Amino acid sequence: MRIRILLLPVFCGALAACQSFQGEKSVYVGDGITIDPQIEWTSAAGPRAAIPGLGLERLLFLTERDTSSVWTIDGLGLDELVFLTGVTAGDPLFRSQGVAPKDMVRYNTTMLPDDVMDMIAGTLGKAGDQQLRTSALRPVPFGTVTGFRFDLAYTTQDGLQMKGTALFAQRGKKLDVILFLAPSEYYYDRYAPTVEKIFSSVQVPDVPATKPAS
Amino acid sequence: MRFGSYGRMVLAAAMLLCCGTESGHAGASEVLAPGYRPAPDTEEGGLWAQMDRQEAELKVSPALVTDEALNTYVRKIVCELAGDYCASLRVYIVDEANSNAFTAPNGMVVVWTGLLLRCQNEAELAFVLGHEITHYLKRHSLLNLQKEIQTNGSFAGLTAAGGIGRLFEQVAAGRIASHSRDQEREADAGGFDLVVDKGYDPGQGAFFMANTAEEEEANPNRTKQAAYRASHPDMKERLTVLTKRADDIGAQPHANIVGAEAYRAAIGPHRAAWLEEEFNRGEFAESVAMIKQLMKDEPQSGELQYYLGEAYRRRNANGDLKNAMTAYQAAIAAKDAPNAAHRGLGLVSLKANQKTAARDEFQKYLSLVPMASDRATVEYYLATMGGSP
Repeated sequence: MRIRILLLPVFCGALAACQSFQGEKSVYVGDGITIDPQIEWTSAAGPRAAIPGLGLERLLFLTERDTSSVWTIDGLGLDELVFLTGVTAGDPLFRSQGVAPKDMVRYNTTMLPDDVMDMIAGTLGKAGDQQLRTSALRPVPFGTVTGFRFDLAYTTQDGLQMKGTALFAQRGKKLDVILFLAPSEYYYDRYAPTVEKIFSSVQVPDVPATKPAS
Repeated sequence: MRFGSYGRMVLAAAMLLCCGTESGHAGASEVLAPGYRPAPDTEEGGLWAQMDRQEAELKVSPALVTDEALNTYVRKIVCELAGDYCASLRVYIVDEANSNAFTAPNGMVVVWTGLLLRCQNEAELAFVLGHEITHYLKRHSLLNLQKEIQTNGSFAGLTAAGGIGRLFEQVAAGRIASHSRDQEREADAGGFDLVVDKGYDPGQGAFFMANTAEEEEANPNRTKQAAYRASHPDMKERLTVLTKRADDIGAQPHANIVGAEAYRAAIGPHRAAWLEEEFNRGEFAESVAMIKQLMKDEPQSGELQYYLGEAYRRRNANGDLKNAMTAYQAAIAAKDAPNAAHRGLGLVSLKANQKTAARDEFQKYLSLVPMASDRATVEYYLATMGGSP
């Protein structure tokens, strides 16, 4: 986690991928989804191609998709709003350093919301997070379609206790995930109300949500 | 000590740090004297100081399992095996789903919960702990440090380590120098002697190793051994040696303590949580194999049947829907079925398009757990099936 914090200035100093959102009411985050950022965020990581060769996939949750990004206010590791949108069948949520791609849990369109929650938790577990607990899976609006929320808690490899909340929806044949992760001490509670507003601001095109297999 | 899946469960990692001082220790080939502590200005003293700092961090780690009853139980086994060295060894149980245990040169004994989950009785755990105690007594870590310094001028394995979490990461990944094959053989032999001396069933060490191998082989994605494994004696060789030694003793009068009931009583309050964490490893084939191993001793366990169902449901391979259904049904038929078994059976029934069964199980779940945190989701499933919650 210390590494993550220290690296942010390096990334933002060197990469065109770092971008601030301030005063914008509608920011596109992939797969047709827009959100209202509410406050100023810095996009710390965008498409993997933007920062080649750094080998920090796990730290930044980079993926090969163009629609994945990580935003932060105070720095990576202190608060991270992670967008993993447009995940298609056979895709992992993100690549993890040291884990073979075939070993990552992959999305399939027959997954029920419980399965998606397990997939997200399993992916974080594969990335090295420990003592991971999920709770309170519940349906919520995802724009005009039905999405789901759940809460999570875990400990990083550095021993930092983290909290998180996840919003996801299965739209068409794709999965969209928005994750907010922050240390349980101070940072999570500080930004949780803002994240609630962001989650409520999600707008999607009129594509019916995928229903559970039947 | 590595006792499970590749790249994760590690056989007694050396946990060495670069000390950079000239050798001034009391002789690495000697067995430690009880209460021994090296002079701080020696190579070994530097190593101990490094590990003392890691231990201080571990003491306040949120990953530490603080349940006094469980700690007392494991500490008692360590002390009985270690005898006069009991006071030199300090046990730390760490909430980590991978299967591992290791002893640092300064006497810090670390036991991961993934190991406790996999052991089926006290004799198995005693063998693992005896193996680790032998590494400590024989000062294998110091020998490895000396060898490393002799070869490279320093030990680079952990110079950039960032605390106990990173240390564990290094251990899990096998990036820290592991013991030599001869040292592992010595630790197996020493561990065996210690458990036999205390009256434990001599066959349980081999039993544990066989289960470890079986779990590892169940993983179809395992394409290579972790780096550290190259230095380990072949599992077959270890099994052969341990089995032969156990057979030799089997003909003689012996207490043959197994301690299955005491062991289950000690870990029982934690097992469900450890099984939940097991799934976050994402190695479902190994999880299925491991749970089936546990079920051999507890075929009537609704808890194990439920988690077997969970493992199948999450793996979601061909045939797993049916496998999960069978396991959940067996769990529900058992006396100690977790209420969540009804939810699990509802989920797989829904995926199998068995709506009536799914509806029944979801409704049972909600009636048994009316305040369930996922109640709204279960009601959503019921609504999509056209039924009323």
